[in-house]
Parts: sequence; C-alpha cells; structure tokens
Amino acid sequence: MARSPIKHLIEKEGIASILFIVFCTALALKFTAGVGTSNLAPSVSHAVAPWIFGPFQILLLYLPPWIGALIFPLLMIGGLAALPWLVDYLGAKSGLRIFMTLIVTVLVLLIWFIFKEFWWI
Amino acid sequence: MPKPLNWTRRAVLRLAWGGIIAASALTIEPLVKYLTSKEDRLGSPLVEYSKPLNVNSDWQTTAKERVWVKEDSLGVMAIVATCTHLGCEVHYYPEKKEWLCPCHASIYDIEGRPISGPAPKALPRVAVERKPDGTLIINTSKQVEMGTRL
Amino acid sequence: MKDQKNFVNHIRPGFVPSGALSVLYTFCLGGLSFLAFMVLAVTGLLLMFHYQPGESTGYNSILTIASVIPYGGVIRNLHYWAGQLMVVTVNLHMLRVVWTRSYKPPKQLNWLVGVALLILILFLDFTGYLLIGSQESGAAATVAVNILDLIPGLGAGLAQALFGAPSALSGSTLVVYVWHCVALPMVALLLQLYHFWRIRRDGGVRPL
Repeated sequence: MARSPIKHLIEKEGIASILFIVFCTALALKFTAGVGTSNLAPSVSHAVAPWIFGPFQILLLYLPPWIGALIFPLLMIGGLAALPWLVDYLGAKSGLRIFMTLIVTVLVLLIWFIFKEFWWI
Repeated sequence: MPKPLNWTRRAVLRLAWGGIIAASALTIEPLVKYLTSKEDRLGSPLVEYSKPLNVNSDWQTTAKERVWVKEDSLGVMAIVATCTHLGCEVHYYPEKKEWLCPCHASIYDIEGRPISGPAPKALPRVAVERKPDGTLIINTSKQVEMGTRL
Repeated sequence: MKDQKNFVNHIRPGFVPSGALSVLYTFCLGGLSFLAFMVLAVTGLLLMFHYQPGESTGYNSILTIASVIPYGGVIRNLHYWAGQLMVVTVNLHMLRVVWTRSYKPPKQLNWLVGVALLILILFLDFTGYLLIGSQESGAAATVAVNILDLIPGLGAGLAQALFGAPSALSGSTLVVYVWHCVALPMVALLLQLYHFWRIRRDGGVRPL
C-alpha cells in the first residue's frame, strides 16, 4: 500500500484548522449567542428547546414521555452502536440504509420542529 | 539588487507561521483585559451624593454604580440605571425625558417604566437615606417600590 | 515512558497510508471535531473565571460576561459557535464513516467508542445549555429530571447525580457545572485520545 510522509498530512490539517477557526471567529463576531429569558421576568408561556434537541421536543409533544424520551432514544443509540454487527446479518449495503433511516427520522423531526416553532413565532 | 521572491512551499508555510503568531499576539491584550476585569466583584452597595438637589430638578447622576438621584415635591428618590433586559447601562436623555438602553433599544419613561423594547420590568428603585450633614446615602442592595421617597 | 513514546508514534507516525491524505475521503471532519473540542476547552476555561453556578448567580454571571466583562461576549460567542459547529462536524464525520464503511472489522470497536463520544458530546451540549440559567434552561432541566424519574428505582438518584436539584426557573446548579466543565470533558478527552490511537492500530485512515 502506498505511504506518504506525515508532513503532507500535517499541512492539510493546518490549512483546514485555520479555515475552521476563521469561520468560527467570524460567526462569533457576527452572531451573538442568546441568553434566553431572565428568571426574574414574568414566566414565558412557551420555552423552545435549542435546535439540537428540537427532535426531542417534538417527540415529547406527541408521544408519552417513556416512549419519546426513553425507548426511542435507546433504540436510536442501540441501532447506531450495533451497526457493524447488523451489517454482518443484513448485507454490506444495509449499513448506509440503516444509518440513513436513523438520520432521516431525526431530520424529519428537526424540520417539523423548525416549522412548528417558526409558525409559533 | 533585491533578491527575487521565491514562492516555494517552504516560504508560504513560513508566512503562514508568521500570520498565526501575529494573530495570537493580537489576542494577548483582550485576554489580559478579560482576566483582570473586576466588573463582577461585589463593590460596596453604598453610594454617596453630596451635591445639592433642587425640587423638581431632573435626574442627576452620582457617577458611581450607575445610580441616579432626583427630588420632586414628595421627596428624594434613587434609581439604578441597569437595563432589566440584559444588564447594559441605560442613559437618561433629559430632552426626551426617557431612559434609552444602547444594547437592544429598550426605552423607559421618566419614572423608569418600560415603554418599548425587550425590557421586562421597570428600572429598580433603591433606598435613600440622609446623613446629618445632608449627604445622601444610597443603598443599592435594598430595592424599594416606585412610589417610595425619602 | 516507552508507552508514551508509543502513543505519540501512533498519533504521529513517520508515514501514513496515502489514502489518509485525501481531503475528499475524510473531509477532515474528525480532526475538525477535535479542533472544535480544543477551542471549546480554551474558551470554556476562560469562561470559568467569571462564571458562578447557582439558581440566580448563574444567569447573572452570564449577563455580566455577555455585556460587562471586556471581550467576555466574544469569548462566550466563540464557545457557543464552536459547540454548535462541533455537533455538526461530529454528525457529518459519522455519516462519512458509514459512507466509506469504515465501521467494518477490525474497526468495530472504534465505532463503538465513536458512538459513546457522540452521546457525551450531546450531553455536554445539553449541560452547557442548562448553565445559561435562563427560564428556558430551567424548563429543560425540569423535563430532563422528570424523564429520568420515569426509570423505576434508579431514576430519582440518577437525576440527582446528573443535575442536582435544578429549579423550574434555572438549570444552573453546581452538579451540572462540574459535569460540564470537568467530568464530561475529561472522559471525552480520554475517549478521543483512545479513538485516535485506535485508528492507527487498526491500519490507519484508508479505504478498506
């Protein structure tokens, strides 16, 4: 197998790092992170989850908590963790299929969340 | 005769290192300011104001701890000019009779009640006492109702 | 000493498989996730100098950092955005690994380590959100505690161990602070170093 000196890898890592840090700094200078609502203010009628946990909030809205918050996430984690072994049983191409099923489920919930909160505002 | 510039990989990488070191050097001053900031240290809650106040004079700043004082026909009152939204310092504009927050454009009326913007509450009123020599002592740790006067 | 050298040699060997050099193979996503982690560690350390956990002190110190302390706002924004970007890069990294089937033997152990890291990162994100101490964070903490309470027997103890006793108005507690700033980053860092060492042990970054 072809091998290359590590310095070529370090160069590429360095360039990617600089680009990433510049991008991150630009975001930080341009967009201020929110601080939510003061706990001294009158209580808000509707607390929106951060987008990363949006899929959770949607699940909890429509499903009983023990399914939405315990069974469903455990199934997701179990499915992810077992992927290398599931592939052995279901065939080489099933890996991407299983992963895409999981990802698409989360993305659908996320888009659902975004639209719901969009209309709420 | 100047040496011709040779944009070898080595020269570009050396330039990149120079850029990284220069960028790092620029972060020194902000870091020192951030780490040495005393803004969150609890100061004494007591503020003195010794200049004379006229009845129906407008808000006067004590220039300390964001405290402003005012006297009307009912007595002396003190207000803390900290925005109830995110804690920026608000400023009083006597010509408009309004307090304006520079950060998110909250506007308060002359009494410190929010008129517009994201501010949830009125500016806090704090307790005032008078020493025998006439100096006002404002205790910023003791909030009082809006109608309270000395 | 010998083991230390061994570790460094694995992370930085003299030569790597040429496949590891292809940006279009890895898109640098794993490395960028680690870089984001480092940015988070540095900015997080800086934030700790001015942050005080607690029901009302948490939110107040966030306000002080965001609007009063010189450069505090920028450091906080950087911490926030590095965190958001890390969640994105970690997920894309996982997608890339599945796409190139890099979870296959002999790398299945490293896949499991990666899944554990994903869960840690999400939990770090959640505890970071709680530390803002806003009303919304109080609501989130209350929901999390109530969900854990559903687990028969263990639930209440687990909730206390993970979140302390957050009020409905603020998620900022000492317990959450220690998890977010010390315990979880330590575990995540150790797992990450093992993750990188394992890559080289399993033959490096290359198409199988």
